Amino acid sequence: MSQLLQRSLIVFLLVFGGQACSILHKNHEYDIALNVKKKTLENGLTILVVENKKLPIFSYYTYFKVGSKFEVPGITGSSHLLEHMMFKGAKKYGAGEFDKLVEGNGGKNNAYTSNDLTVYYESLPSEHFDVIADLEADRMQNLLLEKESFEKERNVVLEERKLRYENRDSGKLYLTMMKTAFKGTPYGSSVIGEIEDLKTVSRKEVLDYFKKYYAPNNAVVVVVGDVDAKHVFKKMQEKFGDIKPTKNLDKLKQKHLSELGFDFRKDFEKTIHLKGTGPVPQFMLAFQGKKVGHKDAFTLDILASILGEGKSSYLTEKFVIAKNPQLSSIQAANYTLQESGIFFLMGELLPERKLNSFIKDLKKELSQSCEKAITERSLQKVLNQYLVGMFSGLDTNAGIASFLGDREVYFGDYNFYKKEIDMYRSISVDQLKTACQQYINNKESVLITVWNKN
Amino acid sequence: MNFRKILLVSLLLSPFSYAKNYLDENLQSYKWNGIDIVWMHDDTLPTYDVTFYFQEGALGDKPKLFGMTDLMFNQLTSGTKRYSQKQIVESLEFYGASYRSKVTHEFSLFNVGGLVKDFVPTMKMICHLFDNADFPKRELNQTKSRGLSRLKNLVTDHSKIASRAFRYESLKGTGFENPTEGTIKSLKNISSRDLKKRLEFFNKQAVKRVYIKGPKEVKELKGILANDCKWKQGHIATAVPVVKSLPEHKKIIFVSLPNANQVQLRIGRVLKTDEVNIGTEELKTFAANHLGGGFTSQLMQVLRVQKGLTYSAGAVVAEQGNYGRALIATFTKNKTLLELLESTLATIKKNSQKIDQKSFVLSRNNLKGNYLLGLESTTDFLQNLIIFDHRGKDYEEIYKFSKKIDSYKKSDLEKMIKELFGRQKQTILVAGDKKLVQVLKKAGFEVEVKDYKQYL
Repeated sequence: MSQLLQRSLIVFLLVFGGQACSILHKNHEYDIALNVKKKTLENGLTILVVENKKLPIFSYYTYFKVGSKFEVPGITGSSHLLEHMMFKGAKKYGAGEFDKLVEGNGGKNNAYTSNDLTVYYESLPSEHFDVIADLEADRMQNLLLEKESFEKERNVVLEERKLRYENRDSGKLYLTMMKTAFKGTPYGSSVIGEIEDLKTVSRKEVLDYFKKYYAPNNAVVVVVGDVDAKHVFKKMQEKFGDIKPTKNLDKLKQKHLSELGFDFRKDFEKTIHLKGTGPVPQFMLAFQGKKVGHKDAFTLDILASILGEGKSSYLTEKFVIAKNPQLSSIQAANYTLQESGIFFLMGELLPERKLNSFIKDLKKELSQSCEKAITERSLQKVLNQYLVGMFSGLDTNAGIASFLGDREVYFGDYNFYKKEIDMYRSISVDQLKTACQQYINNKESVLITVWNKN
Repeated sequence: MNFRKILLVSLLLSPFSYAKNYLDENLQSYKWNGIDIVWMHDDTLPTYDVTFYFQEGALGDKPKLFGMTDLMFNQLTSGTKRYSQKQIVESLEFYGASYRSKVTHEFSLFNVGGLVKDFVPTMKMICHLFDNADFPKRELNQTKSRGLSRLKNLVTDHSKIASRAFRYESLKGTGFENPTEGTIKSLKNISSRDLKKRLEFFNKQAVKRVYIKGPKEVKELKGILANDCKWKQGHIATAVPVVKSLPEHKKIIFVSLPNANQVQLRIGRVLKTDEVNIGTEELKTFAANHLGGGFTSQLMQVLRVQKGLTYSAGAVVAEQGNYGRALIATFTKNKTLLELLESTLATIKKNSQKIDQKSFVLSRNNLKGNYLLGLESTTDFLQNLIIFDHRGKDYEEIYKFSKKIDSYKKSDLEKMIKELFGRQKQTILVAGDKKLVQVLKKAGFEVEVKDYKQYL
């Protein structure tokens, strides 16, 4: 049921990546004109609607503003386990009915959980909008969380954990990097959860979690497609209008998050060597970043692209297609979360190359990169790539819904993409060089390696 | 019950007519220099998407040079007499262009996408590469080295290893068994000279078609294809083998993986030449969808929902021109291997004998709706057309899909499931910890053990 952490390695697509029904492009300047209708119900549920009559289908996205950062020790993985259980029946539509109704009406559905959010989505032929609104309203207020299916799903999640993390060297790297870099903060517990917690968390604990966070005042719904906005608002009022909000939710969330805070720990520098199965080493090197929306986070997005996005990126040229290459691949990413962020590099060595000497070379190259890599042309190249990224995957209703939903949730404004474009365009070469010195060059880092010789 | 009522009104016929009108209005075809062009006029976004189709694939690779065609496309950007690799990739990425190739046994695709404003310089560069790629030795050796490293590290992804091994075992002796990307052994043999000769064949002799999505500016491609690619239509294609019989696998193939705490299961078979493109494609898709096409499919319901054995279970049937494949893929923890295997076989058997009306209707509606959703993205739609053309199918078949699915009875579906996944014809492959061999033997299965390295 999930695409766990699906946004983890595509950070700039999170910031840029949507669709438009009518897009103006004159004189090579691109503007997106989306006709979005917004309404907030009295109980706090925010609804966005875009009518797109291209084909008689629609997509329905529900964003719950809850993710693993709200878990406490002992119940890690609960946000994700709850995501699985949301497909296991509610009061009106019992066990198994959700999938049957969606798929039986020619639709498809899925969900994903991140550190910040849990998102559910469906796409169907248009005539079934009312059914989806009814199903979603039912499970938002009356989830069954039946004991038997809860136990089965616990096993399913444990298998998912093995598949994604325990049996993949790249999964081990990612999991360890997140836990180490964010240690002591609410992001320090993994989304998938600790094995022991997954084995012991009780149905009651997950139900309490549901009751607290699955409320209309903690959700945003985005509907895009061949629908009538007036009808959507009317139906949503009818189905969701009577659902009670969680009282003092903002205070509750703030209290939880402020207990640990999001400051990186003082002894951030760390090196961890993991035992893996692969005969060639893989690595991740992480630096402290900034949260989504922070001005420097936009700068770091561009820096990541210049350093390690594409075959012509600086580090790829230096280490992958150089005369004497050391790596088979390298990527850089700026992973921005709602409350914090990290900037990281990851790659895989070529056989016979020495890990230790490569790490030394990498750090040396990084210190030089602030001057050498950042040029007017490399900046313009990244901006061009972002424009393409902005439009990629944009010819679907789901693409528009996710584009708008991300911005509404992260920035409190679905229209924020206009400011984003301006933000990126306003960043200069000098600002990039300054950020590179400030965040990367000789700064404390977390280094994780994995292969079968560790 | 709500469920039943809603299914009854879900006929899904009008959406297909709606889609047909939209697509009919926007799809145009031309012949440029003898080459067939299919253009989906789409100006909703300031982007374009171009796919070159070649009726030539990995079957043209000599036995010791498997992976040559795939490597040839990958190395197109490695240098020409005029431009270095660095200049080429920097230039394409500066335009924000994305490019990738896909090589199957029977055909190859090269796809380019980007912003319309940079369409002409990007396509001129792409055509320059097709006309002038030099495949410098240093860059080729680097790519080979990266490819070999990737293959050696494949052991870190058990699912990929299992699928690679399964392809080899289930297609053994058909001519289609070798992976299109080559093996550790074959990649080492490929030289710059081999790649140049291969590219020359594609440029001058291979049958080509071009599929374009974008606004009217993309028609500039006509001149670029003629002057920069210097392409004319070719007329030669490597002969595609006829698959007359299935490989025999009486024993379960067990692929040993070090330190595996999960076990991968693959069940399936090759479809012979006389089984493909005979008008039953929709029914085969229906059969795969019913067994493992979504959360409500029979395998997901039994293996995940009822028994909690796995995170995912899927079934798929795919056809090319001369052969096809039917495949079930799933996995579980070590201690439930037997339960997973037996439950999977039992589910196949049950559905090849008696399907209940409710699940039949559900699968039918699900398949029809998802087919429509698959037409939403014009890029995906063009990919459908490419496959249709390769298999010589009429585009009209797209719009007849729904009616055809409606015409099938439960008995047709049961029969097709038996035909595709019946126990006697299947190759069964298990990949995991070697200790599990004894578990299978104790349960009465005959097992043939293989090391994963032999599939690299």
